[in-house]
Amino acid sequence: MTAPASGLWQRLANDRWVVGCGALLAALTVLALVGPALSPYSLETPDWRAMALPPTTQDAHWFGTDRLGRDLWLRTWHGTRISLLIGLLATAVSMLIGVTWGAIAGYVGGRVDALMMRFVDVLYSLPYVFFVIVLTVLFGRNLILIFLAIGAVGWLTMARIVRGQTLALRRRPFIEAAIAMGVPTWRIVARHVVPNVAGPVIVYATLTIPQMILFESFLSFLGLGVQEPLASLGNLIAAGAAEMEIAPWMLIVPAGVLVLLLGCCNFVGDGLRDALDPGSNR
Amino acid sequence: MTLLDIRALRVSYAVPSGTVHAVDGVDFALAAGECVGVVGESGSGKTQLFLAALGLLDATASASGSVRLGDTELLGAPRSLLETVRGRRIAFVFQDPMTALTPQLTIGQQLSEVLRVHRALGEDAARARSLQLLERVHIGDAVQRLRQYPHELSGGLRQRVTVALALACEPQVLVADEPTTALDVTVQAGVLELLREVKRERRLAIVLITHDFGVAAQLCDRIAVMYAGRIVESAATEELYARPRHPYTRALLRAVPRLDTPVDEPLVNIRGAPPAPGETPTACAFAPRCARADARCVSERPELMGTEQRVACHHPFTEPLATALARRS
Amino acid sequence: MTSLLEVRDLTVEYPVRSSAWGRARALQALRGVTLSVAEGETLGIVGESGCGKSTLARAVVGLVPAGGGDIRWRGQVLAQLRSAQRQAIRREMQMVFQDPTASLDPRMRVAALVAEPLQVFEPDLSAARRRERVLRMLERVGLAAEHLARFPHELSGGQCQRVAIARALVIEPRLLVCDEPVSSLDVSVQAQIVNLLRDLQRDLGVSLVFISHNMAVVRQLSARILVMYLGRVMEVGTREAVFADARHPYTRALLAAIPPPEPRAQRPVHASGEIPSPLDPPPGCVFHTRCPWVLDRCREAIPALESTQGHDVACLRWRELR
Repeated sequence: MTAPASGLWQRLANDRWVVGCGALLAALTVLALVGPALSPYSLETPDWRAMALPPTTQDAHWFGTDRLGRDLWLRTWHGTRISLLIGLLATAVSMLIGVTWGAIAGYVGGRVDALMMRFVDVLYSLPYVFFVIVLTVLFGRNLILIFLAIGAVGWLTMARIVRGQTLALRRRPFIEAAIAMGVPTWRIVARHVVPNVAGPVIVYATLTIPQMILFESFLSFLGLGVQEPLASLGNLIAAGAAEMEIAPWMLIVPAGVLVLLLGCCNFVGDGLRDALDPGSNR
Repeated sequence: MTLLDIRALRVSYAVPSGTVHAVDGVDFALAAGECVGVVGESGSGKTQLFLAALGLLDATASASGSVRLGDTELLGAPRSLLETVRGRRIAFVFQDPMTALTPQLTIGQQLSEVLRVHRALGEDAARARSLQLLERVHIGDAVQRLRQYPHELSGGLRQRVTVALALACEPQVLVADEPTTALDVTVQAGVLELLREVKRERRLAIVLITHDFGVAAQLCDRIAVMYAGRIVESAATEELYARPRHPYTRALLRAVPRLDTPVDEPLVNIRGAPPAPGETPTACAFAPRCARADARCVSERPELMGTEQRVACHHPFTEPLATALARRS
Repeated sequence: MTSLLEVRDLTVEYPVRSSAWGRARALQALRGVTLSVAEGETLGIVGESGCGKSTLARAVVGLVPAGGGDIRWRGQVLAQLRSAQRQAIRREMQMVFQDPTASLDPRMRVAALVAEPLQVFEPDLSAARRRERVLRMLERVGLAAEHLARFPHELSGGQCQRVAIARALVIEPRLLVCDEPVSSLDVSVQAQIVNLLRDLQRDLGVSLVFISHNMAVVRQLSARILVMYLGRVMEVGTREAVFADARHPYTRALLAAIPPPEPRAQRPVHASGEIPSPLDPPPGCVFHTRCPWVLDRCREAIPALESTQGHDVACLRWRELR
C-alpha cells in the first residue's frame, strides 16, 4: 500500500538528496537543451585551428576539442540530449508495454498468466546484445530502431513487477467489492489495478531511465548505437577512451556528465520510493 | 497496597498537521488482587496508556508523567531495566494471538524462551514448567501441544497459550488488551473464566482493556471509562452499571444492543464523533456531543472528582439508569 | 410474499493444500444450505468462525462458484443464465463488506466511488444527472456535499461504511447483502449504522441479508434469523421464535454465551471444547462434539432440517429438549 499523495510533495521536498539531485538533473537538462546554442561552432565542421585542444576559455572551447577539432561542449550536450531522449522514450515504451502486460497477466491469472509470463521468461533469457545486433543487421543502423530495441528489453522487468503488484492487489477487499458490484474486468484493470500499482511503477520507471541511458551508451560504445557524426555520450566515451592518454578531457567530460546524470536519476528515484513508502515516518 | 501507580501521564505524537494527544493527563492505580477494566472506543487512548507504561511506545511518541511499579519508576527508564520488568513483573496479553506468537517457533520453544531468559531455567526445568503452565491454562494434551506451531491451534487455544506465556514468570500485574475480541463468543467465555481463576488464585492484579461492557462486567472489580485520552469516570463495577454518572458512560451503555433492547425503535446513539486526532478538544472533550453541555463545559476542563466514585463532569447524572429508562417508557 | 432470493442445497468447497506435495483436500465451507429471502424482508444470519456465513454471502453475489445446489433469483437459476442476463441480475443485488475503509479504492474520491455503479449499469446517464443521484444518495446516508472530494483515508470508519452503503444503493438494487457491516466499528458508530440500515430498508423497500456474529445486533434488524455452524444450517425462524424459543442446542449455547453488560447477571455458559476445523468436520451432526445432550445417534446421522410452522431445526432431539 502506498502513502497518500497528499503528503508526497512535502516528503520529497524534505529530502535533501532529492532536492539537490533534482536540481542538478534539471540543470543538466537545461544545459542539454540550451548549451549547444551558446557555442558558436557547429556539430560537424571541425575547427582546423584547434585540434585536440584541452578545455580553455579562449575561443569558446569550454570543454576542449577532439582529434578532429570538433567542439566538445557542443558534442557533449548534443550527446546528453540524445541520451536523455532515448532514456525517456525507451522508459515510456517499456512502461506502456510492461504495465499492460503485467496487469493483465496478474489479474486474469491462470493459464493466461502462465503463458504471458513464460513468454517474458523466454525473452529474458535472450542475450540482449545479440538481439540488438540481429536487429541492426536486419534493419540497418537506425535511431528509431535503437529506441525500440532498448525499450523492448526494458519492459520485461516492469511486467514482472506489475504482475507481482497486481497479484497482491487482487486479494484486496476493494477489488472484491468491485467484482461483487458487477464492474467488468477491463474496467477493474484499468480503473482500479493500474492506478494502484502506480507507486512502484513510477519508482521503477525513474530507476529505469538511467538503465536505458547506460544501455544505449554501452551499445554506442560498442559501435552499435548512435553513429558518427551524431554524438551520444556512449560514442563520445568510446572515442575518449581511445585517446585517454593524450587527451584525457575527451573521456573525462562525457564520462563525468554521464555519471552525474545517472547518479542524479538514481538518487531521485530512491527518494521517490522512500517518499511513497508508508513505513518511513518522515 | 498499590502495585501500579500512574500519575499525570501524557502521551503525544507530532504529526504534520499538529500534535496528537493520545493520552491527556491520566492517573491510574492498581492494587494487588484487583481487576480494573479500562473501557473506551478506538482513539480513547486506552491502549496507548499501557504501552507507555511498559515502554512499548513508538519512537515518535513523547511521554511525560510517572509510572511506578512498586518502587521502580518505569517511564523513561533505560531499556535494560525495562527488559527485566517486562514479562517478569508486568506481562502483556495482546488482542490478536496470531501476531503475539512467533509463527516460526513451536509453542514449546516460545515458552522455554521466556523461562530461560527471565528465570534462567535449564532446558529440562523449562520444559517441565512449560507443561505445568499449559495445564494451568487448561490446554489438554500438553505434550503434543508443545510441539505444535501457532497456526495449528485454534483461536481460543492460541489465546490460552498467550496467557500461559504471560504467566510464565509469575508477574505481579497482567495487562490484557482486548483479550477476547478476536475470539468467538462461545470460546470467549472460557478464556474469561480462565482469567477469573488466575486472578483468584494468585492475587494477580489485572488490567483489562476493552471496548465491550459485557466482557468488563464479567471480570472487573472497578472500571475506568476513557474518552479522548482522559479518564472521564471511574467506579466499582456494580455502581458504574447501576448509576453511570458521566453522560458518555450513560450513552455508551445505552448504545450497546442487548438481547432485550426494543427492536422497533432506533438504537440510542451518540451523535457526532470523537475528536479527530490532532484536533484540539474543547475543555470537556465530550461537550460537542453532550446534551447537557453549557458554556462552562466548553471553557473549563472538568477534573475527576470524588473518592470511590469519580467522575470528570460539570453536570453528572445522579439517577440510577434503571429508573431513568423506566421513566422513559 | 414472492421469494426474491432462493438458495437450495448449496454446497461450496475450497481446495486446500497442506503442503506443496500434499494431496488437495476440500474444505467444505457450505453444505446443503437452503434459505429464502422475500421482497422487503430482512434475514439475519448468525454464526461463529468457520460457519460459512461469509462464504454464503459471496456465493449469492457470485464471488465464489457454487459446487452443488443452486441459487435462484425470482425463480431463475443463476448458473444457467447467460452472462448478459447475469449482469442484469448483478445489478439487483449488491454487497456491503466488513472493513469499510478497505472496501473502497484508496485512490478514488467519494464522488467517483459512489458514481461507479452508475457508470457501469447506466452508462447513458448524463454527467449532471449522475452527479445529482450521487449527491442525493450521499445525503440519504447522512453525508454531505463536502464529502464528495474526500479520499477514504480521510474519513472515519463509520463514514466509509456510509459511502459503501451509498455506493451499493445508488443503482437501486432489490437486495443488499451485508457481511458483518458493523463489526469493525465502535459501539456508538455501530448504533448509527444499524439505525441507518433500518431506515433505508424501510424507505427503499430493499431486502436485506444481515450477517453477523453478534446476535444482539442481528436481532435489531432482522425479522427472520438463520443460525449456522460449520457450514450447515442449524435453525431458522422468526426473531421472536429464535430468541424466545430457541430449539437447537447450538442456538441456546450462543445465546447463553453472550456476556450481558451487567455485573451480577448469570455467568455466561460456555459450550465445551473448541470449534472444530472446517477441514475436518465431525461426522453426523456437526455440533455433536460440543453438545451437552449428545447421543450416539447424533454421531451417525446428519439431522435434516425439520420444519414446524416456519420454525426449522436441524436436531434429532429437539422435541425432547424443549
